Amino acid sequence: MAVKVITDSTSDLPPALVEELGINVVPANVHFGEEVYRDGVEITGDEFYRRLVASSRLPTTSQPTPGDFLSAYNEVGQTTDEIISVHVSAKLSGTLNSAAQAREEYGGDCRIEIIDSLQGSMGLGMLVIAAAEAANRGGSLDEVAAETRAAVPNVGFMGLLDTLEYLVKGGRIGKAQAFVGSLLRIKPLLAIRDGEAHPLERARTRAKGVDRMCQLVQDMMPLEDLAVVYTTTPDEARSLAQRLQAFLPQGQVRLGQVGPAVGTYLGPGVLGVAHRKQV
Amino acid sequence: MARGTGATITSIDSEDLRRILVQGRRALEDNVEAVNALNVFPVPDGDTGTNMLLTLRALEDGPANAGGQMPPGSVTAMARGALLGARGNSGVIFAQFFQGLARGLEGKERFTAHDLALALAEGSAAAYKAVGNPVEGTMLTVIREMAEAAQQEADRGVDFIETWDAVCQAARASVARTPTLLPVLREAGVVDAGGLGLCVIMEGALSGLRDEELGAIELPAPELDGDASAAQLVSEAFIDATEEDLYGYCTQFLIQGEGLDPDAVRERLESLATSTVVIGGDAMVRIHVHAEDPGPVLSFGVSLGTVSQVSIENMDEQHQEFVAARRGKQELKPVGVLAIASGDGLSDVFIGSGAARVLSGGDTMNPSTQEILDAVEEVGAERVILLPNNPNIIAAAQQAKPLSSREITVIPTESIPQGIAAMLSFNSTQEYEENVREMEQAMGAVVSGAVCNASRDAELGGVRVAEGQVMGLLERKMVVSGDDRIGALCDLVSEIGPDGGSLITLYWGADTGEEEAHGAAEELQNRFNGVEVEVVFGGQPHYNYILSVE
Repeated sequence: MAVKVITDSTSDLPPALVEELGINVVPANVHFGEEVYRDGVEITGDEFYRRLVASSRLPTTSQPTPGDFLSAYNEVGQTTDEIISVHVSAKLSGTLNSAAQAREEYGGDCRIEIIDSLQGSMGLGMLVIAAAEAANRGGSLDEVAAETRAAVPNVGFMGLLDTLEYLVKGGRIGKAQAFVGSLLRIKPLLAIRDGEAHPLERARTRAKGVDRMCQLVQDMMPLEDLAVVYTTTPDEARSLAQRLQAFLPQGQVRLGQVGPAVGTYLGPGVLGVAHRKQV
Repeated sequence: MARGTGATITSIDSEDLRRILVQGRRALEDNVEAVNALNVFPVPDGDTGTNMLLTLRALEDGPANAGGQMPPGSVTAMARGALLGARGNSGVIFAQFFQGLARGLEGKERFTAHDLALALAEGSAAAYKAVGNPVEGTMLTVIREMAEAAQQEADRGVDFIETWDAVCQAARASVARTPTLLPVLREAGVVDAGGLGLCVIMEGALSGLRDEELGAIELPAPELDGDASAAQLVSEAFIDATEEDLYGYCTQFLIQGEGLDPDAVRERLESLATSTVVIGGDAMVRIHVHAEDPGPVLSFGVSLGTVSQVSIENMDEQHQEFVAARRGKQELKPVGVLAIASGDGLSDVFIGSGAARVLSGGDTMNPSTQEILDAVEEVGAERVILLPNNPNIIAAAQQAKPLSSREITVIPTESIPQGIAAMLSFNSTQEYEENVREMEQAMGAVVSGAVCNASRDAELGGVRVAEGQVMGLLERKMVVSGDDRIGALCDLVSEIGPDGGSLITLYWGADTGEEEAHGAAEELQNRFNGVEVEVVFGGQPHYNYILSVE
């Protein structure tokens, strides 16, 4: 039986791709006050960002519960005997803890391998894609897990933010703290490095920030996979994807929207690039 | 509740446990915002209280969700409810704690103080196991110390309420001590949020146990520096005694057996290890030692009874963190930036962008080499990047280089805009050489201008200005003059010729009004299509405006 891939909704994978690759996505939860929504299931990206901007109180998120993972393991475990569960960096979320607790509780015969992607958003998504492709090629769980782990250091994510406000208030600022406190308007360019937010550049204008992202991507060539994500500006993302297409001659630059769980910490107006180096 | 005629009870059943936990949950509800507000570890996302509350509700609903076979007070069903509904790290730890507690109580109809002590010890072990890398000064410490207090109290007497009360007191004291154990809490001046949440739950439950109405709970205050706790003194003394050469493994475990003699156990262990702590009674002993080799210590434990809750940690890492934290104050940072500028606003801009120190100086007052040397010292870094921001200060800055005990690199910025551009490309997470290279590059990417009054008649490069008139400088060279400040500013920008996507940053000076500055920005936006203008208070003397175009 083929290995099945499970991830969480912070992977920001487009629904069509999830379907195509046969991935199971366990949703995180987004809270607006007392109201709780399951990320991507009960609230869409566009709806979420409308509320994010309009709401006076910022939303919060909570990781899927061990029970959520247990249900997923039980369900998927009926169709396979090997599961790989790839999740958002433990420095950004307690999701891995929930998954580990669920595995402890799981009483079925399925072998479950849990992997810390050290990434979030499409960075995680890209590793999930790598795992799913390895699984669909017919690899055993050990092979799929080894391949996924080997891909972790080659995958990265960077984002050009409009403001650090959401990251600070959400407590995920990490090393990007170095960019907090500027009296000047800056467009912070951040990466996820060593599993947490990491400062790259302070651009004075958005156009300069976008140029810088393109430069950084070009410097990473040759690339295996490339994706552009956005929170509220799809047209801008599309034109960035077109610009970046030159750096991925053998394939198509992916395009997707950052979902509510990750969007809670990035805010509106964000452009992100996930990249996987060829080795 | 099997309550005697007096104020004492000897045992409770699972229905009672559930009832008092409901009271505990209500206490947490009353204090949830306070708990959320303290959340700084492991991620400061302000939801610890909420997560614990949701987990407690899942715990209460556990029996109902178990499919009707479970009695409403089933401890096992409550534990499972908590486990499956656990939210956040604090919720997961709490659920594991309760899971252990439930294991300890399993199969018992009624729970005595002694049962509670054993169950709390199980809960503590389970909680520690729940996290990959247990950190002291968190809810884990509070749980462990609660369990220890229950053990001591249960050894003394059999009253359930008194034991629970002792557990609550231990929880309070433990919560208060958390900042002495975890640097991030000490820095923030707060107690651990998860520990506080647990303390509130226990206190709420205590009022339930006493059949009292739920009252306001006084939250424990953090023990901070200047009020050094015993725990801190112990660790400081321990560092002093062992200095830098500490090595080995912090080894902890529990021995359960019959006729154990803690004193004899301690004596034997002291010959095998250091920092020996042995607590417990004749049925159960908890061991904490530092050993070069944990093997013989564990073998000794096994020879006495059943060993459980084994924890072996490499201390070298912990110790180095401790030493570094203690010496943090006098330790030099690897790198810091010193900027030279005058004007409160400009100084704030540099500090806000990551400069360690701003030395006052500029056109009208060039700082001496000695003043620069002193400021370099005050940066408190081994290597100092110096931004002179004025051509007349570069020489003095260069002179300071061989005279300083620090390594100095001067980035030859000739204007405030160049200095700020360089400052913004500084990234403290980057290598020194990389920073220097990028800062040098960035300073060249802006055009600097200024507008001020002429102090005398002058003619430069075909531009004439009379005393008291306004002149516009491009990279320090007069390029326009006139009678009107905003007019001169617009002419200056026109000379620079910004393109559509340009950003103009306008720093208004001490002798200029904010309103005028905003008017000037509006004028620039009208005159130059597509440019973005940012108005910032500079507070600089002499220059009405300093501006950068990039």
